[in-house]
Amino acid sequence: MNEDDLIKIAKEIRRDVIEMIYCAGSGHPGGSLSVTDILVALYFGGILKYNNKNPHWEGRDYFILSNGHECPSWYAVLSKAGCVSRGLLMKLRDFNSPLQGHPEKGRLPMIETTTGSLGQGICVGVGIALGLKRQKKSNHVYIVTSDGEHDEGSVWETLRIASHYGLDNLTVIVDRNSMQIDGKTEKVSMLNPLKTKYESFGWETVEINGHDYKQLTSSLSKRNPNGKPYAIIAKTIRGKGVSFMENSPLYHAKKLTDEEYQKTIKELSNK
Amino acid sequence: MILHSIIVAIEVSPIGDFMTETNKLQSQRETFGEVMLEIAKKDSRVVAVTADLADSTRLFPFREKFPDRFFDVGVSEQAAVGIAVGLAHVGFIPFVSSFGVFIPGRAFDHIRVSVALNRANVRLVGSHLGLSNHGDGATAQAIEDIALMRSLPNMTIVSPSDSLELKKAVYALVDFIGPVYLRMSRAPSENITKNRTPFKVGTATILKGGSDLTLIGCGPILHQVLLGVRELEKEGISVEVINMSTVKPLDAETLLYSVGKTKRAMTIEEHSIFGGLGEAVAHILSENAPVPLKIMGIKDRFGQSARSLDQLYREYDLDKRSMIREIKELVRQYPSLP
Repeated sequence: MNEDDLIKIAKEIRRDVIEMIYCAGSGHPGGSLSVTDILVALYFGGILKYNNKNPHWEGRDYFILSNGHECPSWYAVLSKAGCVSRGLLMKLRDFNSPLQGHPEKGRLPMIETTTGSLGQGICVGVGIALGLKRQKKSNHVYIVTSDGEHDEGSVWETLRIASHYGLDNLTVIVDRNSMQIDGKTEKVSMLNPLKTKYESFGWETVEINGHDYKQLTSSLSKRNPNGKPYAIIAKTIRGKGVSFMENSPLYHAKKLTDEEYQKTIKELSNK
Repeated sequence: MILHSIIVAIEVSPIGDFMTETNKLQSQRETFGEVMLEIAKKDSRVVAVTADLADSTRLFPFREKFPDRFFDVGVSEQAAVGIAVGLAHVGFIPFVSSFGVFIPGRAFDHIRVSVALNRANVRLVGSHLGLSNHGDGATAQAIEDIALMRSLPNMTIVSPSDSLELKKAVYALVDFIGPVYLRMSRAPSENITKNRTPFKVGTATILKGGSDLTLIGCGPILHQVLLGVRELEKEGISVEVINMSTVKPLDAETLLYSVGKTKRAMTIEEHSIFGGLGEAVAHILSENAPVPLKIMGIKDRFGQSARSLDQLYREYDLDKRSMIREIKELVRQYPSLP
């Protein structure tokens, strides 16, 4: 798909996200909108190997959304990719729904591991990459995490371990929207210089604009020749695509009012 | 209904029948190291994950023999658990071991979400149970681990009574489906089971028949129990001893069968009295067959350092003498029961 197609898909995904969260009466719009382009690039930019008819296909790449609360966007992407029926999307956070508030393994076949408690999916993903390497398999592991998630000590435990084992079958993408629940990441608990930190942990690291499809697809398709794990720090805007949500501290987790919903849908339809 | 465990009881019921085979002192962790090597040779899916405690859990020979299936992640118990889950997701059978205070203690939420909610096929191995790390003291003594693991859906808890049973448990866990917490001791102890004693996850064993009281325990503390019971027998108090080596799910059938005969019960464990085997037994008995019950364990205190484990057993009323005293008291308090 070309860049215009990806942009078009991303707009549909963002609209789905808003509808889902509005319908559910709760959810995380800010992060779901900031991560959308990363997920669209992975699933529709020819990066991630998956089979929508056979989710457990042996040749698949492994995808883990470690910051599980951004799942509305992922669910919408999975629907667009033909892995989840469209009718299910409005069941987000509903009783007994496969679309739990945080992704739960066993509820949907594409969920490789349960996430939502921060600092865990990334550890499991490193374990998967380690296992695949030992099995001499060529499947790649992609983990999306957020900057706020890096406040968890276990993230740094596992970054060190991934580097120790030379996991060059692993790509971590950081949704660096620079915001977390209590405010700006640098104000709450300084994370910068994040790229230097990754490099000092033995990772090949690149910083990109996480809303630019050229940069996303070229970095995501890179395979590291140096025997190192690879990190993409994707600078994003929380609430991307909706003017009054962009960089607002109000939209980490929020029930959307009727007024907000109407305004958002209008914006996402017109642009 | 005739239970498997009851058949075992008939086989081993004569007093003093335990400890009759060649019985050298061995700690469960030593056995763990040996049996891990054995099962790894037989099954290429078996891998070991440790957090800088390979020596303490006797995994150096495993490391030597299977370097590609041995993962030491450093002092990072949360990551160790997560990585074990990842390995399980691609088909390995990981045994992730540390001290019980760290796995499950320190890594609890990773176990709650990534292991239990995820139903990951991971074997968590907590060594140095109870007070068995007598030298290091409170920070290294796992007396809350059963409580933590009992609270989690999907979690099975196995606490073998001796080295022989630990070995059988590790073999049984290779093909077991689902998350398991395996508890083991640092302290050398004598075997109280026999080579022929069967082991099945979820099934208790009646180690010795009796008629006046049922004593339910888990872990190597059962050795002391059997010594104490032998003394009580001479005084005319007949105690039935159940080895409840699977703490969760609890073998309620065997428990209720035994208590139905004896009408009195006592539990003993190297663990806090809160949330452990005692409370699990109390739950079953109070709902099904209320009888006088005494729960012996560590009473809302932390452990401490000592030069020997026996000192700590005495201090925390887990020694033979305390047990005998409490059994006599229970029998005196409830002399005749319907």
